[in-house]
Amino acid sequence: MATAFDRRRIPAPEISIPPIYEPLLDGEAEAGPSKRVDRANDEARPIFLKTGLISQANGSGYIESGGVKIACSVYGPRPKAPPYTPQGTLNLEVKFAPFASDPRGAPLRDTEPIHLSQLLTQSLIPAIQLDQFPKSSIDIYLLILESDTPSNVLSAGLTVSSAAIADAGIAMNGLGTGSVVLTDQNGEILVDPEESEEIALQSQAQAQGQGQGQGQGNGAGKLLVGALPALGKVTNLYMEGEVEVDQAIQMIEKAIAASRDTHTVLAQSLLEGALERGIGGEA
Amino acid sequence: MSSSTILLPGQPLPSSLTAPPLPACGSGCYESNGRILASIVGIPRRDGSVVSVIGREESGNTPDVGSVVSRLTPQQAHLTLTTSNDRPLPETSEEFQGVIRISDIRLTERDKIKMGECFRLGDLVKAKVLSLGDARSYYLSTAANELGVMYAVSEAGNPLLPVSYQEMEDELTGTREKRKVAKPEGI
Amino acid sequence: MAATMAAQSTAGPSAPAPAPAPANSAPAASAEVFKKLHPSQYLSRFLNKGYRPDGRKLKAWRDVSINVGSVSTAHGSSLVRMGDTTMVCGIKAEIAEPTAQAPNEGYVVPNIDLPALCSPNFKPGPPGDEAQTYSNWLNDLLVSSSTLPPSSLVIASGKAVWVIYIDVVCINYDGNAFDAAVLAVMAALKNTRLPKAKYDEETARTICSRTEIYPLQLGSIPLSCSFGIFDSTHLLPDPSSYESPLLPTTISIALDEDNNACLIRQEGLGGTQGKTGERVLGEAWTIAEGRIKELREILEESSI
Repeated sequence: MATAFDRRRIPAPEISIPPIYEPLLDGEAEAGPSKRVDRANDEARPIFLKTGLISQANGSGYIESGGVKIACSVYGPRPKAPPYTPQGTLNLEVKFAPFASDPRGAPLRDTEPIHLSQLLTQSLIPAIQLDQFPKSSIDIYLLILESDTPSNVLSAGLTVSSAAIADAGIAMNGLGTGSVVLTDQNGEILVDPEESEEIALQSQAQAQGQGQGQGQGNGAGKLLVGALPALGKVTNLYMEGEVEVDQAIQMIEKAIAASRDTHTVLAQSLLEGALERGIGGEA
Repeated sequence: MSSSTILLPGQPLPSSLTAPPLPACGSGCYESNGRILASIVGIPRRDGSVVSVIGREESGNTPDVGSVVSRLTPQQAHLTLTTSNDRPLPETSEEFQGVIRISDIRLTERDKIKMGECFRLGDLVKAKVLSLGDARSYYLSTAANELGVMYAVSEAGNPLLPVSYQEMEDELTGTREKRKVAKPEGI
Repeated sequence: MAATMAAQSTAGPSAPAPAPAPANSAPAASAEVFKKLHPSQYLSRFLNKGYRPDGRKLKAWRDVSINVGSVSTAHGSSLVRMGDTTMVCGIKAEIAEPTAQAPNEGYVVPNIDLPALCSPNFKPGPPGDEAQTYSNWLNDLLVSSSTLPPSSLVIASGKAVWVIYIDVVCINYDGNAFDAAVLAVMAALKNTRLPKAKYDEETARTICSRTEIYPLQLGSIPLSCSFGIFDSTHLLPDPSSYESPLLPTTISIALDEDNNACLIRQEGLGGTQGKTGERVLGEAWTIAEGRIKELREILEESSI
């Protein structure tokens, strides 16, 4: 644990551990991972989305989706340092506030954001008309203020990024949205899984890894779909786990159906944002 | 105007605007499989054979830029771009850079031009973007009457007023200094 | 040159005042362009009319709102808006061994982050100079006013103590980050609830209760007010991000409940024309006393 002393932050003790709680009593309900309430298995999670709240940015968005809260700002097009590029460059950075996850995410030690940044960049590049911005860069910053599962962060992150880019007036082919679907051990497809459902999937995967129940059941897996619902296009597929091909195709279809619902919310908040920005008010 | 006329990226322009012959795409829209779709949030508009979507900011193809002279050499003037089409460029930590080569300063008498008689450090210059330029800078031109120095400060530190196409005068002392002067609007 | 300007600015603080007419030497430039190219003259023309560029009166503060407890992954949290400046503070408690030198003291670890998200002038990466400065000020402030005494954070002497991580993240940087951050920290500390913890000698582990929680034992609650001095003429409270680079002198005053100073900082030359630095500082102090009283009321309301 030889981490370099960080002079830029107020020093903290070298080791500290999150609180450990006493065991649950029998029959006591755990106030732990969130569960699916008030929505069907194939129904997208309700979201709250608003654009234009960050006045310093060229475009911005804020999303609340289940246990996830993300602020996103877009700066650009900005001048890009040489070398010359005929196309614009997309820079995307995901950052977790230290209090956004359980346990606390200490700065510098976390590598999760890099993986998320890569997946989000891949999903967004097809949505943005980068050829319109030679030798410029478009910088997108996401700040996670609260999070439950990485897949929820990803799907909400993709939706809020699209909102912020469109709010910035940057040319896009279409609005990208994200959704996650999961096949549980019973072969049931769950759209936008809750934390409890993801934990169930993980523990099953571990059990399979130990050789129990291998080859039985339908298999289980999780799939992230980045889509441009208005154009009927898919921009990114990222799957973990093991499912039959037919099942995987069904998962994609359910994910796209769910992303249309998200798209409706996204469109509504952009229209409201456009009126606040004065688009259509003049002329 | 109601929100129903506002288009979102990926949304087709209304058929009333795209009636054949298929118009060309201006800013804010693009063609895909024979359909014209919006690429920004905005209001669609047709001007003759061109359709466009007007969003938060209008941008032309060869924008006029406002720029401040940051470095001078005998061959070229280096500028920092500050505005585009009379709108401030977005605030950034690094600014866009531009270059005016000596041959792009004036329309006439190009062989007699001396850099020191056209621009000084800190002058505010209105210019046209010629091209994307090299890796670092855009190539700019002031070779038109309405382009050139718009605002400058004399050696004594007072604002200068334009008196001719190549001279400006100190408001207080009356001293004249040479510049490539932009023709003031409305004259 | 200023004499030839016909600036008209009549709007009240509720509506942004119209921009003064642009310089006559650049007639095509719109107000926005003038604002960008000649920031100092732009600001000066507003101030001479008794208004600030964002529409408030010369000596006015921006509206403040506080929301607490909205971050479920934290033990305490707050969101503070000061004009457009927005700060989120989250407090996380963890458990650690105390140092051998101070077996009866817990740790308080405050940090302020100004990420690239919140302003075009910040770059991604580790905290910049401004964020580091504010973190240090915040730390000094908490220590000097014993807001959260380390001795109140002991679970078992020499064995286990609480570590209170106070993290403030800026979401929108429109100036005066320090005042907003201090207010966010105080609101979040008041909102924080820790589980009752017991140290087990046999297993050398600390176990926390699921049902019993208690608030932090807080000492004095200092709040901060910051000012800038423009052109040695105007003392401006609560500077915005547009004004800040134009203010060579800045003053921050933090006072506790009894109006005792917990932190006073002045950077740059003090005083204005005809007034000594001492007198201006005194003037700022008087203004700060009034403002901090208002902030306390807002803080109290938010924690109900």
